[in-house]
Amino acid sequence: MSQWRNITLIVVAVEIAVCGSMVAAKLLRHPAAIPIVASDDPLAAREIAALAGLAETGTAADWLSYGQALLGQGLYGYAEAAFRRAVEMAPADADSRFALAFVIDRTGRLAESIREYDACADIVPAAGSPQMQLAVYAIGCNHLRMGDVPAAERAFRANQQFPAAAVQLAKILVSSRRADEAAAILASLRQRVPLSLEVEQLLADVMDALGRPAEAFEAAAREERAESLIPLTFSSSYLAPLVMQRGINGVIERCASMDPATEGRAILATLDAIDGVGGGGDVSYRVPMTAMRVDVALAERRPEEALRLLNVLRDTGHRDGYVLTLEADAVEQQGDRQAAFDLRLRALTMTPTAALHRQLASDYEQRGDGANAAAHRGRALLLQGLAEYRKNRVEEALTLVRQSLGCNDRDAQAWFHAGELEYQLGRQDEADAAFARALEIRPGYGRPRHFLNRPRLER
Amino acid sequence: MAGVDVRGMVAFAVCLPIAVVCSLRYVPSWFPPPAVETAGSSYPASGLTFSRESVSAAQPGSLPPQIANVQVCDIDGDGTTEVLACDVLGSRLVRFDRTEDGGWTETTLVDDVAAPAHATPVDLDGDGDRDLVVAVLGSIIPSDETIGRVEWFERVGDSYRRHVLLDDIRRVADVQPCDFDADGDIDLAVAVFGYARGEILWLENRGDGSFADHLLLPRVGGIHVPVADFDGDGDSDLAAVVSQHLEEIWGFENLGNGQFERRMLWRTPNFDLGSAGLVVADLDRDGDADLILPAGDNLEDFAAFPQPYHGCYWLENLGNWQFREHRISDLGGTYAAAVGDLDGDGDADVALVSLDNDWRNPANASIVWLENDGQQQFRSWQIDAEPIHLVTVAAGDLDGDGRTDLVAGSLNLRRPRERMGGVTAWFNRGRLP
Repeated sequence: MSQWRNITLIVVAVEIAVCGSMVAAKLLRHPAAIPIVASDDPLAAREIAALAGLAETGTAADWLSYGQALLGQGLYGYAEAAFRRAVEMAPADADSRFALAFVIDRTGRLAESIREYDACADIVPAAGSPQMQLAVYAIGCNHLRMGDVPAAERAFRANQQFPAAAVQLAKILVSSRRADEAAAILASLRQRVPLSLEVEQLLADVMDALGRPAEAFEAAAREERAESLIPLTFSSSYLAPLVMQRGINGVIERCASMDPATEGRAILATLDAIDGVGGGGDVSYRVPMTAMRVDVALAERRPEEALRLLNVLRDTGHRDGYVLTLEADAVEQQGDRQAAFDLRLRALTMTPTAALHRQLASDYEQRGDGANAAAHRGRALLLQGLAEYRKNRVEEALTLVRQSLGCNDRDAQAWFHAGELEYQLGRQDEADAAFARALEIRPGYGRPRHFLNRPRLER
Repeated sequence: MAGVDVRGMVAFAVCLPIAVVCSLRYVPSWFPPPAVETAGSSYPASGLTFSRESVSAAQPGSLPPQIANVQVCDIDGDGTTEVLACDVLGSRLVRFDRTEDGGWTETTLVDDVAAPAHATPVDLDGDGDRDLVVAVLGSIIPSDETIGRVEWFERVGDSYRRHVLLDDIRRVADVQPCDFDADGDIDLAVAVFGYARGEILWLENRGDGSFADHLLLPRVGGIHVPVADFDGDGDSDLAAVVSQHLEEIWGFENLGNGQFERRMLWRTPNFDLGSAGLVVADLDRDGDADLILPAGDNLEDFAAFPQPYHGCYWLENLGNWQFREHRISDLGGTYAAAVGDLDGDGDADVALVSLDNDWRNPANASIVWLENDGQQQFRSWQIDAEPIHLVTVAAGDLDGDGRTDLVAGSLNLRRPRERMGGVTAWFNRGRLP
């Protein structure tokens, strides 16, 4: 009996120790700051609650994940508390340090955020790593936001390998009448990032300041074909993945990338699942979800369902050209071509897209109105050409614009853009002829006149 | 006794882990929860009393309103003032009339306008009635596509006929009418905000219904192009605020014959200032045109927070195109300003609204007025903390009592989705006795 008693005593002692340590762990845990209204997004709210639970008894990485989820919902203050705990637990973790610096930065405590970015830059292992460059760039930006231009210049100068820092440095130099040095920095940057919008815009200012108007004009003209952007603010790019990572926004984005014609059932199932947890109750989610259901209904040729859903959409107060286009497609599926045509003409006053012009060209053809059909076909080709131009595919763009002029040679805008493209290809005479034609058709048209009066470079 | 002890201990051994596991979730932490940072600005209650009235409210089940602009103006030239609003969500221009019983009637003036940013009643064709000239963004969502327009809605009887004066351009944020070339007809100044690219233009009225476009400044981020005689030489100049990669104010001196000379009037190295508009007013009553700059736009952030440099700046016209900067308010997320003598003491006061104060704190201000002591020292008074997300404000006498009232519009694009409004009026009831 005493043997049993001893065994039981040992078991009880072990249990007391284990349970005591569990209670102690609970007592000594660092509680997460949980927002009372975590989110109007029930999916995100559920995930945030689960992450909070994990973080309270977990690692620095769990606190970082929890903070990032809060940041994605715009809950800066709560996110800061989570990042602070992550940094306490793992002071050498660069991601947590950066996240903490970022949230302090965006809540307007600039000097404090500089110290945190500094701490982050100190612990990033590789000098010149992207995270270190970003931290040092943020320091420079915050000096600018505090009005301390010399400190900003020092930070950007030390970080010139980071393209955005080089652009900011060039901006400081231009505004402080050191255009020569800015020109050298931009020339170097153009080697690394060809045809960047920010560099060409700044180069136009630099050349202007240096009294070289022809080169300023050329740089300004190149803006239109710029292929790349150097983001000068990084908050959106830092936050976007966090916003889309959790909750309904992410699900909606994934659905939007699916093809309603081939994946319609999967889209509807996903939207039903969101509705099942109450996600469709919030009107700001209901609108994109309903628009996707309309797309699927039209792809499946169920016009009555599409029109019913469009009424739901209209009841939310949402009216734009896209909704009119969807309505036109639905009534056309029901066989009412006149109503569809009228709706498309209304939509055109708001969203004159290439697709809408193509559809209207087809509508006019069916009505036997060749002139209007050709004009809309020409417009569609012009818009397609301009889309190519803005991707720096100048030859392809010119082919499309010439085809557009083949449909309608009285389109002054098409002549102007043909001239602009010829100019970009270095064919000055052809360009000037096209500009002159545009002005002949529309004498008050300023843009071709601007090109014809351009300062010319002695070559 | 020993048997009882063993049975008791066995029972204890069984119950202990169950009880602990079940009650573990209720065990509080020894540590207090971490403090959560809040910020934003609030001010003492206004000595002037204002009574809030919803002109057009957010409707349950509908998307929250997106009002880009409100003005108190005489839309039809009948001598009474109305409220003219640009409704982005509904793609329309709306007129609100005050009824005799103190209510409001709502009339859609024009439909199918893609994200109207600003509308001005003006007799553009000189036929004696008031048309509407509209700055069309094309989309409220940032875009660098050429989706902007300048549209003229010609008054024809009781309706309007649409004319597109300028297209194939990026998002247009403002259009202002004026006879710049002194040829007797109305020309237009245009701010093409764009997104990555933009420009400031003026459109010369050619008299035949067509307009010739002239580039004044190739700059992205043009918001407003107010017109005034800034140099006091008798003709109309214009100014422009640009706010995207740069934060600058430019002046364009009218040299006559359609020629302008551009000058940079002001700039800040703080690329994040968030200039949100530009208002002309003679704030110090010295006879020249000053500029009021509300600053607090941070629409580039998914969820925005007030910054320490947000607020309102008065750029005092010193003559000869020189302007001196004075910061007159620190309201977080300031987005628009209106000038008027709110307290009736003969000087110019300023009303400000906020798009992005820290709305987690329900006491933070959404609309304030800055009392001018006559020496251009301003004291901020809070008028209201709701509705939130205000982007536009106008001053005028809405009820004919001789006092300057205020009307504001909400652009509800972001969280929080509470305390939202559409078009809201604040009637000035004067000082408390």
